Amino acid sequence: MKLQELKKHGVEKEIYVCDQCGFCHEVCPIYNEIGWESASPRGKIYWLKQLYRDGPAPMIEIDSNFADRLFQCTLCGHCMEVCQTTIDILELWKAVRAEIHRLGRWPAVLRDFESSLKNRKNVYNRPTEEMNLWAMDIEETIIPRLGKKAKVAYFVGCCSSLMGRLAGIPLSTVKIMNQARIDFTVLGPEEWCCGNPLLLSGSSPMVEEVVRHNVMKVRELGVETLIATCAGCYRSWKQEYPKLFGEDLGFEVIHACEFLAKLIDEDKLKFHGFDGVVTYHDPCEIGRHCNIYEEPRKVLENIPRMKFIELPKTKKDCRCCGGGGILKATHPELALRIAHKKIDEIREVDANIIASACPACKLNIGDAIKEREANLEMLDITEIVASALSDTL
Amino acid sequence: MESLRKDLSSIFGDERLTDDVYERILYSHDLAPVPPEALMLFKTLPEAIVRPKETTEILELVEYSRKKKIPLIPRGAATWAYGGATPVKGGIVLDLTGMNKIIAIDKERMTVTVEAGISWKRLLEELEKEGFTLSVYPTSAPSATVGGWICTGGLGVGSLKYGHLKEHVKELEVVTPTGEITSVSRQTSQETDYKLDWFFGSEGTLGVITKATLRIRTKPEEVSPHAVCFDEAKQMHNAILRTLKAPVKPYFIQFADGDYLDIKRSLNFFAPEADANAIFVFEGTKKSVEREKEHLHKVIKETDGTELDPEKANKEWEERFYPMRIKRAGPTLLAGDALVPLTKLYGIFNELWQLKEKLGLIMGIEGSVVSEDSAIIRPMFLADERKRLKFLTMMPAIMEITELALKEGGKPYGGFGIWNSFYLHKVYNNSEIIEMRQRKKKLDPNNKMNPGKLYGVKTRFGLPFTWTLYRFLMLLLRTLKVFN
Repeated sequence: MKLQELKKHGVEKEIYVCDQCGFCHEVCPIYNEIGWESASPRGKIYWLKQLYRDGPAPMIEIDSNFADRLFQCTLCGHCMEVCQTTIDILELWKAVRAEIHRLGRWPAVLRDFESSLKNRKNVYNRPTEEMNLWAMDIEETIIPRLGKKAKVAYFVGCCSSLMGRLAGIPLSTVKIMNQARIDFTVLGPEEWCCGNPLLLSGSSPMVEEVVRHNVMKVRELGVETLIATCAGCYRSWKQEYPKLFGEDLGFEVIHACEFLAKLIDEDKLKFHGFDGVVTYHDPCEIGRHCNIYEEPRKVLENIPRMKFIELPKTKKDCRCCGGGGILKATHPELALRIAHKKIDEIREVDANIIASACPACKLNIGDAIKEREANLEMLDITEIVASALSDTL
Repeated sequence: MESLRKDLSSIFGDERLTDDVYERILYSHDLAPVPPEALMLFKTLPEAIVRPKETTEILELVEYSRKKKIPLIPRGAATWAYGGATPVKGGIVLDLTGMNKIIAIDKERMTVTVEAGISWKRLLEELEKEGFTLSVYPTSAPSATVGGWICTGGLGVGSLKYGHLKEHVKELEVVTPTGEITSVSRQTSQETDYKLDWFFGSEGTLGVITKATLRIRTKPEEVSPHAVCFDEAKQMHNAILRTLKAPVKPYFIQFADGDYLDIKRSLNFFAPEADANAIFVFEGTKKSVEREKEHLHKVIKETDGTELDPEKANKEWEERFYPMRIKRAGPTLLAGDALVPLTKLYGIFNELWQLKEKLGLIMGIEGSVVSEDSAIIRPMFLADERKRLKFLTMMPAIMEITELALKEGGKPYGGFGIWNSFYLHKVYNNSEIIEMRQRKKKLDPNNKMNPGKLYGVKTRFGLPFTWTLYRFLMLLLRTLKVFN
């Protein structure tokens, strides 16, 4: 049977529901770069219809060419905001990516991710012990917290744990927790990749094992609140884990933005202030996918001396930076081109700092800033908050 | 094929040219859910697609097509449903959406000059940043292009107050089928072979429109939408007619019958519970809007309407771009757009409801008032193309809807393309058609600019696609019902 994953995901009707109106074109970051119909959601859906329907034999098949195009998508979900017939396009793509996986046509880099997750429990094929790498300079603070029982757990995520460029995010988070006098725990080597890279790619049998392991480990520590600084980790914990685990996780999952907003509400942070004009880019996975829009703004607006201004397109209309949906791994050059467009947009407002709340945004926008030597700094919201804190309590 | 690729790549490079079959099938259709069986009548698959960036590239392409006798099919966002951008004899499709720059906003002459591939919505957004706006735009604005709408419809949001798109286009840049770049305006229309008016509804048959200069205006002080529900469609019809008696015409009136609202609500979209619903939109100075509101409130009282709260009215106004929401219930949606006399609106509603009962359709009617004496109605009915035989037997219903509108003095709205081409004789008289055909012959002697459309369509087998053939096919499909 053709495209059986569509039926499994319950989305086979969606390809007929598409009106081909093309409203998705104007907002699609991939279509706007590539320009061919096949780069747009409506084009891809038309292919699926050709492959799925009865009648004349299709002129195309699910080969590597097809797979390549189906992975040209950041899963930003902007198309769903303008879709005439409200198609769950993300679920559709996940189903098709699953089909591509079933047929053994996954891009090579994803097959590497899969085997790395299987063997080393992270997608970067690095030894498990290195999950502490980010804390190299604050070992004395972190080592005692590893695997310790606490009400709050911090899920660092493999990008921030293993990539030196992103270590500022967890280091800032720890600084904030300390100032707010929060007793927290980290899993360290027992923290396995959340599985999001594979979930975005159509999933893999590996993921269920990862979910079970992570949930059990957090449960063992008596955790009541799990905090994630990574938008991708957060989304998978929040939306996918309960489904895959099959029952309520037994603890609350919140993103750093929500956590920071709560600390501000409870007056637990003392600021000396932050100098700069800051604008905020809504990460797709916490914004459009999880509706976290107000919290980061609340945080940024509460920092003394800082000037906060909005981008021309914000919240559900925010343009994706290009770093999502595994595109940075499968099509790095394309991802970077999209980030350059984002910088053009940031340039329309008079800001010297672009803030976000997602390591993938930080990486991708950061790469584009570096490449064009733009006079702009990319910071995670945790980094801004941490450097605005008073040193004395 | 190889030589075609080589020749075209000398103009467009390899980035903006493709002959890949994966791409070609995506440029062989528009949004109409045409059964694959009907498509077999034509050669809809193009040989190649190019994405021009410059007018000069199109000029070179036209030269090439003249030499090689290859059809050229200009294409905007392909959001039409009559096959205007669908090849019927293969050829090269020109995807013009990459030509989407705003060239200049002239604040003195109050015009904007754009490349024809820009979408109406983006143009509106960019103008609004500068404090300006357009007078008219299509309900497909989020994707439809400026060039595309010039070549097809021309009646939409704002037409009630400001008229047809024709009145707002000052100048066009066109690459002619004989290989010239020419500017066409009302002034030049006196001196050259080209008349500006010819290009409205020309469906890409007279040349490639590359630039357009449009009239702009200052953003109005206030835009005020009002949603009104009625217990009977007759009251709604009355209310619309009475509203138009006010000294200032509303900017926009969109209406729907109860069936349309029911289908929409069943899909969890917002739609009021009523037998009919209309949204009246006023715009202008605060003072004039105030006067229009007063008049509307009087009309609502006289016609027993119920006004919804402003939040719901705003929601309906935002939904003006989304008439196809109900397609989700199909999953296929078939429609028969028609331009009808406004005085007959309720009568036509009645006849459509009877037709719906007779044919056992799930149908909703939606539409908008586009002038003081005409409205576009769009009766849409649900179908399911997955059930192929049943789907085919539903096709004749489109014909019955259009015939019903014709009988009441209406005409098919939007144009002809492939699927409406047999209605040409119902809209124009013989001498008009002869003039159109002569014009086409004169301007495009080789018949390579979007050939096989509008003036008479021929199927693959040389058989003309006429009204008689169409009717015959439709009646044949109707008899299939017995097997169903």
